[in-house]
Amino acid sequence: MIAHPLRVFVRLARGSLMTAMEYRVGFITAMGMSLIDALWAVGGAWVFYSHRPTLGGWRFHEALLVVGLFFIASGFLDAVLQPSLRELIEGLRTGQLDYILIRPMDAMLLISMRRQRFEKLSSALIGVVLIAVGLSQASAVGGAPLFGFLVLLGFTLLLLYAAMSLLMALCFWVVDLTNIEELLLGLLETARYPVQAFPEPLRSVLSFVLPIAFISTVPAEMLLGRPNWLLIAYGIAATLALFALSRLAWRAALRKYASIGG
Amino acid sequence: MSRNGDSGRTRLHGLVLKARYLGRAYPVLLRFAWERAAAYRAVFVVALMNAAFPLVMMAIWIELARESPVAGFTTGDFVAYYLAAVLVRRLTAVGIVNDLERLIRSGELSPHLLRPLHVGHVFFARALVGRGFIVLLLMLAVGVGVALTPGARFDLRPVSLALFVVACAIGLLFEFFVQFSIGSLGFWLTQVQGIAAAFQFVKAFLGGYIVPLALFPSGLAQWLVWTPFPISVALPVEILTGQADAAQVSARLIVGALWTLLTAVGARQVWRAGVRAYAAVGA
Repeated sequence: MIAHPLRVFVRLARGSLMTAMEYRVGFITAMGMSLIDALWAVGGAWVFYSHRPTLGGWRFHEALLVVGLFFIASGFLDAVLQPSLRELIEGLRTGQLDYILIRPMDAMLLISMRRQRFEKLSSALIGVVLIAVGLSQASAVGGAPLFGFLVLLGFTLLLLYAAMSLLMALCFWVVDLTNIEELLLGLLETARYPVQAFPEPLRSVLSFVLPIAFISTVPAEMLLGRPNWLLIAYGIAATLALFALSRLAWRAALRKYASIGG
Repeated sequence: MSRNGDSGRTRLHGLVLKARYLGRAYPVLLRFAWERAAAYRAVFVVALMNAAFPLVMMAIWIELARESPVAGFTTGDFVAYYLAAVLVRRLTAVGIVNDLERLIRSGELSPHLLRPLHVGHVFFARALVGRGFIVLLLMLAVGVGVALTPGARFDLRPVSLALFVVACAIGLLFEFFVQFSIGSLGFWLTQVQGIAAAFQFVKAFLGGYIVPLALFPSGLAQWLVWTPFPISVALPVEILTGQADAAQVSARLIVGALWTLLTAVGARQVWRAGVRAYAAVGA
C-alpha cells in the first residue's frame, strides 16, 4: 500500500532533481544563503551568550541543537512543502489541477509531493552540521535518546506537513494566501531558539497552544537526555489532530472544487 | 572670461530647465507608481515576514534583561529599539531589484531608453510610493506599543525628530542607490536576486536590525558605526530612541551622506556601462 506512493515520489523527485541540475548556480546561491542565515542565527545566539552565561538554562552548545533543528524544519518547508503549495496555487489558477485529480492516487498525497526544490535542502544540511557540532561538545548520546530523537523528528516533519496541507486545502476557498502563509512562517521564526529563552506569556503560548516548542526545543531536549514528556505528549497529539484535520479539509475542498468556471 | 561666464550661465540654465522638467514629471510618475502599487497590494504584506526575526530577538532580550539591564539596556530600551527598527526598516527599505532585473532581462528596457527621462526616476517614484498607508498604520502601532511599555521612550524633541527625518532620508537614498546598482548588474549576471538577498542579510545583522550595535563587542561596534551598514536602520533608530552618542550623530550623518554619494556615483557608472553592454548585444 505504501510502495506505490513511494515509487511515484521517487519518480517525481527525480524529475525535480533533474530540473535543479539544469541551474547549477542555483545550488551555490542557495547554499550561500543558507550559510549566511545560519551564521546570523548562531551569531545572534553568540551575542546573547556574550552577555549572559545561559539562555533560559541552555548552554551555548546545547542551544546549537535547537538552532540546527530549526534549520532542518525550515529546509524541509522550503524544499519539499512550499514548492508544492506554489504549484497547487498555479494549478488552481490555470485549471491544470484537473489533470492531477483524474490520476489514480490520493490527491492530497500526490499534490503535496509534486514538486521539490532540492537546492533548498542546503538549510537542512547546515542544520545537521550544527547539531553535530553541538553534540561534539556534549557528553556521549545513548541509543535510546537518539532513537527517541529520530521518532520526534519524524513527528515534527509530519506536523509541518499537516500544517502546510491544511494551508493547501484553504487555497480552494481563498485565492490569496500570502497573508496566512507569512504569518505561519513568521511564527516558525520563534523556533530558532529554546522556548525557555522567551518571556512568560509567550513561552506558554509557544509550548502549550501553538506546538512551536515541539519543532525544535523538544527534540533537542530528548537528544540531551532530559525529555519533557508532557510537551512530547502534547506535540504528538497536536500533530495527529492537525493531520486528521488536514485530511478532512482536503476531502471538503475536493468536494467543493468544480474546476475553472465552476 | 566672457566665454567662461557664458558656459556657466548655460549650465545653470540647463539645471533650471531640468529641475522644472522633473517637477512636471514627478507628479505623473508618482501617480502612475501609486496605481501600479495598488494593483499589487500583496507585496505590502510580505514586509511583515522581515519583522519576525528582530521581534524574536526582542522577546529573548526582554527575558534576559528581566532581572538586570544587559549592557545598559533595560527591558524598555529593548522594546523601544526593536519597535523603532521595524518602523524605520519600513520607512527606508527599497525593493526594486526584481523589477529592474526583469526589465533588463526581458528587453522591456528598450523603450525606456528612448525616453528623455532616466529610468532611474521611474524606479525612484515606485520606491517612494512603497511606503504610503502601511507606514502610517505601523507608526500608530509602534507609538502605542512604546507608550504602553513601562520604561520605553522615544526622543521626541524637535531637534532629534528633525535629525531623524534627515537620517531616514539619507537611509532611503542609500538603499535606493544600492538596489539600483545591484539591479543594474542584471546586464551581465542572472543571479542578481541572490546578490541582493545576501547583501540584505549582511546589512540586517551588521546594520543594527537584528542586534543593536551597542551590544556587539565594543571594538566591533565602534568600527561598524562608520561602515555603510548602519545607514538605513541603526542610525535613524538610535536617533529616535535617544541611544546615539550625541557628539557623534552629526559626524555619522555626514559619513552616511558621503557613502550615499559614493553609491550614487557607483550606480551611475554601473548603469552606463550596462547600457553600453546591452546595446552591444543588439537589442
